[in-house]
Amino acid sequence: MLYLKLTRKNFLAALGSFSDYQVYAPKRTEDKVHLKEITILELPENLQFERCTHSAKELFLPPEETLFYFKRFSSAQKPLLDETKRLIIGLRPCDARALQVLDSNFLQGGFDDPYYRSRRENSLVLTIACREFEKTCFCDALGLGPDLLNGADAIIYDLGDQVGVLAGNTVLAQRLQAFALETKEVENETQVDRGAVPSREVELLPVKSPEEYFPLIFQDKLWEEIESACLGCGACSYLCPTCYCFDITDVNLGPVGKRIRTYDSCMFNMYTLEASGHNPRPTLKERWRQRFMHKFSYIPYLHGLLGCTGCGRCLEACPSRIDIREVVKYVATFTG
Amino acid sequence: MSLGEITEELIAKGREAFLNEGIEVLLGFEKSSSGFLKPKAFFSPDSLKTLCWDASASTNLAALLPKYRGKKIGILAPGCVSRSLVILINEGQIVREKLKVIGIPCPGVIDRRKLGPLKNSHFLGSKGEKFLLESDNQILELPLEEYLCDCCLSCRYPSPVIYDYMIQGKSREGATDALEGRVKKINSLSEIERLRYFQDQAEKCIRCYACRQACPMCYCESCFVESSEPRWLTAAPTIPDNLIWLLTRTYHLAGRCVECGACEQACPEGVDLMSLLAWAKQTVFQLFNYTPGLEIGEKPALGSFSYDDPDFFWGGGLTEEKKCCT
Amino acid sequence: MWQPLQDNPYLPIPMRVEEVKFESEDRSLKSLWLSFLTEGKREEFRFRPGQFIELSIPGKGESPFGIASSPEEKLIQITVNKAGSVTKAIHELDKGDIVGLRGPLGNWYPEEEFVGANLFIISGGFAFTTLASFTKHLLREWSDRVKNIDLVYGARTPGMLLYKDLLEEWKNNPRLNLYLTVDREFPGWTGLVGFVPDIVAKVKVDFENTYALICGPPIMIRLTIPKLLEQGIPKNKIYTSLERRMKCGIGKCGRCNIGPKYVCKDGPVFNFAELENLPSEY
Repeated sequence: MLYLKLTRKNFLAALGSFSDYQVYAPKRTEDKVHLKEITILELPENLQFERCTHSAKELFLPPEETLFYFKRFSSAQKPLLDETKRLIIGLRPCDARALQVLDSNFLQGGFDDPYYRSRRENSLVLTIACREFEKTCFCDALGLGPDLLNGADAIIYDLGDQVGVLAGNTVLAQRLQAFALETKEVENETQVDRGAVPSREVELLPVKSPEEYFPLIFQDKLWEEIESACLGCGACSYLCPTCYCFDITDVNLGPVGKRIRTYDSCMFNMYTLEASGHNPRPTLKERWRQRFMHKFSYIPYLHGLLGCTGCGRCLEACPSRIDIREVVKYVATFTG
Repeated sequence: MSLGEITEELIAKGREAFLNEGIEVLLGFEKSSSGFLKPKAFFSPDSLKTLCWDASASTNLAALLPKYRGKKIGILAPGCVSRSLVILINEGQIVREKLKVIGIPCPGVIDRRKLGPLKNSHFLGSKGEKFLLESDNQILELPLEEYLCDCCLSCRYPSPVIYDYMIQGKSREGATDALEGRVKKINSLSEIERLRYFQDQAEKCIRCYACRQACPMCYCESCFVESSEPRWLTAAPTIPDNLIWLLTRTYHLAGRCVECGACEQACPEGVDLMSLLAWAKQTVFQLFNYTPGLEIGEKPALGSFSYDDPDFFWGGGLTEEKKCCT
Repeated sequence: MWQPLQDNPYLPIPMRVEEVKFESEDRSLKSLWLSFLTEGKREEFRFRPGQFIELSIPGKGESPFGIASSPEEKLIQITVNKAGSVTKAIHELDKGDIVGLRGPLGNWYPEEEFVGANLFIISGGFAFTTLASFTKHLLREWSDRVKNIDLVYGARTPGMLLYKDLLEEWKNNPRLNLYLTVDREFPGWTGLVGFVPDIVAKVKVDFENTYALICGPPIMIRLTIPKLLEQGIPKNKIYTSLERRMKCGIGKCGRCNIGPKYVCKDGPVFNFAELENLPSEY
């Protein structure tokens, strides 16, 4: 990877060379922050952005995605893939990490998801290192950090009147090189100047290895205790940057129609409800357990990375104030 | 009520309910990791040591009843929750004999939305007319009245209408017109502005159904949104579909909503749900002079009829006073 | 692994309904035979018994169905139970109608493993589809490479048995020991009477060198497997085909998982030894 130091002005000028890209950055409307399209000129020179309420998921896995159009009760038409070039700036390292988790589902395992792939291949993701922790986030407790590249195309460090850019994407690195004060080849984040990275006293959450969860923890009464609080709403799944489960339905618009995919949540009763009426996860106990095991056991087992980024959006949104950190701690110290 | 007193009495009454009345589960609250209260089901008298109640208890516990169907249930109930219980009894969902209600004189519940950036602070407890937060190593003492939900500010029934035990203390006095004010403000807009307002709310909605899950009146095993024949709305969170969701839910709750505000507290996107529900409640009251959840055995307004119901079609039974808000 | 017939694995390919037939007296079960509209697609569509397809009725939705025809047959056969809005629309299809198909999806019964062994095929109700495909293929193409073949198939009533013509043929096939059973006595029924798990316990098979293939409703599987284990069939020689609510069918939407395995991608055929290591969420 290439590490570059640039003045802020030059950095923004370098970004200006991506004129065929639409620029997206977090923008506040009332009490929510969403990724909105802006012009390069509107980018603040201090490159300070608020954390997105919904994370990068809304651009890569939008809440409604048309898979294809059809003429009713006849053959299907070819879908249009979203090939818009997007330069997304201002996300956080946890958002980039979430994209790695989404990649592990949509871009591996035999069949590539062409819709997700098209958006991913046509986007540049530039994250900024966090200057402070939110009250609810805990990426450091999971062994991650607010200054990691996490597979983004580049991460921007605040160095006062300069910025330090660690670029994993060679095309981006080359374009920035022309504007840079200095550059050097590095292996990882620890070898570079990252500015004032926030740090705090945090208890490292001892996440178990995936195999250790089953069957030891599967039968524990912990899940019944969580069931007593959980309402079964989808708030955690919809706000979570790594939750990707979707539903596929057909929408009829007169003589034509479209097949769409929309967000779904494993917390809903209908998620696994079979036509016979049998439901393998009949109560919230099984469903909450599934959500937890998926993030902390199945995804690490299959793909080698944790399914949780430690962003804390779920525990902030939960109406019953269920704290996933407590569950991780309990499970990790469980000895049976 | 001070921090310590009500807790002791609660635990004592809870123990009585287990030991003398034979309840199998008690629905109450315990402190969460952020200090705010979270709902909890207690299964034995010994587990009651974490039971507590304060002004951060925003969940309507009656929404958790379906999980314990068939059991003998003890439940903590301020005014709104007790009214939810009355409606559930009247609608045949639970049996009065299987309930043991520990009545709570309610000072009101804090609105997380009104806390703004303070909502992620650590909650230390409420005490009389104040509550304490810890934020950035500072302890803040804030007046309860400024941060109560609009529902609590307008609440005319803070004390429970049914109970088996009553915790000592004083409920909030003096209902304001916080909710009526919201409805009035929207009514003062032109039709186009009103449509705009609700479209903006619908745009925020992500259809996570947190409002439905938090509501004790939404107990249908299969919600209308899950119906595929007929399909009432698509799964996509578009403005028209979201409006169908919000408006239909409002209609399904007309004459049944006790205005506890649990839905608004649960909504992660800040959608204005109570304005619609308050409007529906006002309309039902004006048409039928009915407030839900006050008496076991009462006939629900939209589930019964009488010959002098307002009759728009034939023109009878509707006086000037009864005309609903326009 | 499946190579999609289109670059886009969500896009169904058009098929024509060539033939329809009701399989059960109460008309709740219907078979459809489908042909490919596009030249050359039938040859590209190589599948093995055990796999399934997702059938699309654009405007209504999509449902997964086990392939009931065997690989050497020209048309693709599925048998559909009328249960919901999509299957209701499928039941209303007739000759000449156009539908969409995605597949073949999932994994298959590992035929290579069974060479030289006895086969004990057990099925109930309308889950018989993929095992019918397997048995047809076996008897036509490679029955000389296995020893004994015992097949137990049961339904609630004689009218609910699938593929009655096929079963008649098999009664006279010397390579196959066929045991048909219904839950209760029925006028005119001369076969066995009893639930499938009980019949399974009575059949004499050489449990030393036998593979069992089971496909049926969850309750039938739960009751039958212990009987097989009692007789000494090792866990890794019991294969079962599972069902789950499915949407994408390709392991992306997340809903059909049992632990880290997806029923649509790592299944639907599972080995019982494998299943024991997974949460019992099925």
